[in-house]
Amino acid sequence: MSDYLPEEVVLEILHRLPVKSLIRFRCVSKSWNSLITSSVFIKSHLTRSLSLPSNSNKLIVRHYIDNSSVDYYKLIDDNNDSFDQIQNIEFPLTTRRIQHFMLIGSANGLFSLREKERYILWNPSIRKFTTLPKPCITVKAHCIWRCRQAFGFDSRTNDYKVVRIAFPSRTNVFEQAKPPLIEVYSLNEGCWRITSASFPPGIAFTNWRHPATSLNGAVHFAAAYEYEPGGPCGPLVLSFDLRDEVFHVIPLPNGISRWINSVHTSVIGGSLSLLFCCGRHADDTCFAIWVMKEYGVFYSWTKQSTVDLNGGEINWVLGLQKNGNILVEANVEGPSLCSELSSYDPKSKQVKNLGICGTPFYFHVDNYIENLGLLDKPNETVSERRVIRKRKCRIKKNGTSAYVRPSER
Amino acid sequence: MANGENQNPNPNPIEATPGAAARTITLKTADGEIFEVEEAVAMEFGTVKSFFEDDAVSATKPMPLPNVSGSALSRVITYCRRSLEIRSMIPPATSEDATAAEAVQGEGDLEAEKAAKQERKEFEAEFLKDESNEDVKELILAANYLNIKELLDFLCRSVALRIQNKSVEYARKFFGIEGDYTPEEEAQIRQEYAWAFEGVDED
Repeated sequence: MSDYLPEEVVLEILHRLPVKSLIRFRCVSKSWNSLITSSVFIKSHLTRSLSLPSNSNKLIVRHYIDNSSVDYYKLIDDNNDSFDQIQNIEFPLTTRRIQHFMLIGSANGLFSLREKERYILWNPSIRKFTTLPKPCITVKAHCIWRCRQAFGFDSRTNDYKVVRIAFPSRTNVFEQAKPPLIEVYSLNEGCWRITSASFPPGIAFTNWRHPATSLNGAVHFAAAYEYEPGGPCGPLVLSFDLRDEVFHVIPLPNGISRWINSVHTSVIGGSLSLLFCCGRHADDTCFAIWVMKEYGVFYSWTKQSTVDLNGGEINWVLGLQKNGNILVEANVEGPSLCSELSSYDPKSKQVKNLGICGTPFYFHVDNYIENLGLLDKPNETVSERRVIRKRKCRIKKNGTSAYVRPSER
Repeated sequence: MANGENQNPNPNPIEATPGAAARTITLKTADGEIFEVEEAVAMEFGTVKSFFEDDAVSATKPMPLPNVSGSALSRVITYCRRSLEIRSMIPPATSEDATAAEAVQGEGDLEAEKAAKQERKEFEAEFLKDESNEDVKELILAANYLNIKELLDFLCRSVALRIQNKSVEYARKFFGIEGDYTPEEEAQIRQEYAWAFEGVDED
């Protein structure tokens, strides 16, 4: 009887291996290496990874500590309540500037980050990053005032994309605002391309920093109708389809009042969701989470939960945990402005601290996913990327976070 | 009202006759061993199922399994028997009236499902405990030939667990693969992804 297992069985076994083992087993033979680094296998391994229940247990937390200008990444286990297993994830690059890397977004466990006009994609599960080529639209060449970016995955084309929506500056106050230029980077193609997509008129972003949400092959931004007498008003979700390169407006139900601020889009349980603060007065502010149970179906918007900010105990809501608790940023008493990642039990209204502190409103939590993405890209080492520049670094005298103006320089 | 009327034996070996003794199917392995297996268990084998579905073959003649040894088949039967038992712990969902079923299916069914899951976990952990890699591979080949999806699934999962922390050389030996990288080529991958080679079990 032959000792050799049939190919389809070997494939089955490989699909069940964690990425660390797969990378090591690239050395087994040349044919195994070709197989493991093939885009077909990378895609099918990811699909399997996403469907396994055990893989959705880990969360990756990104937070920032103001005075050190460094981002920290930690891996926590969502399975238990105590979060006593916290692993540090090393970020491969350091920035020499005052501004740290800005998070553009995350999708399938991959992160897209930016430092001025240097864009990178990073896969923490295989510790690999790749630097993107310079975008076509630059501040100098196109007189860009500010830019909204997004990162997402389109399963139809099996491609990761970075979107830049660049708003040109006005030469004078009386000039009408010019429509933004939109360019898209495709990982498969390896280049940026200015699209002919047209930004819908009368709509403006309400949030310029929080990562747009990648879902169903589109990126989703928090936006609102610009004020126009007699025109529609209020918040909305603006989506950009990554394959068709078309904008869509996703209206919000009337139950969401106009008086909401700091809207974030997110994904909860596989559905598009909105997290925002509501209430006009300081004493009645609460946080609400709405979920669009059926994507694209207006009537499926459902209020998932509201979180009472517990009289200032909670600064921000980050997402839902598996056990029904809510991940929040809790206020930390003390001289410096600080938030602590905590778990809020809506039934008991108890806030449990998890021991991770950082600058308020700069926490980002996402599912940690084992993904072989970027494995087929050439390896970049940190020393190659360090470029010494003689540009003057503008240091902010007031010492607050460098995010006051996210504009390009 | 006839007394002593004989019940006609069911000509179709697939259908179980209520009240009759459990039908068995006879299997003959490559090394000549004969196994009499309960029909329900034998029908878990996709190969056996289609063999008897294709033509109304009499269940009395033993079905030959030229690619499976006696020891492998014995283990396979043990697995499928136990698996069926565990599955029968979960009451089947009624398909007729969804809402009524939902109302009835309360705590009881969830508890049963949980218990079944635990039973399966314990059983599977024990099943391969003392099996060598060669034995596991033999089982895989048998499960593959007999087309038993659940067992094959379990075996692949188990192999992945067994090898995931092992060295490159271990993987080569397990799958019977000759390494064809030059030492320099291999060294390059090892250097680029040094972290993936840390914490690996000793051979």
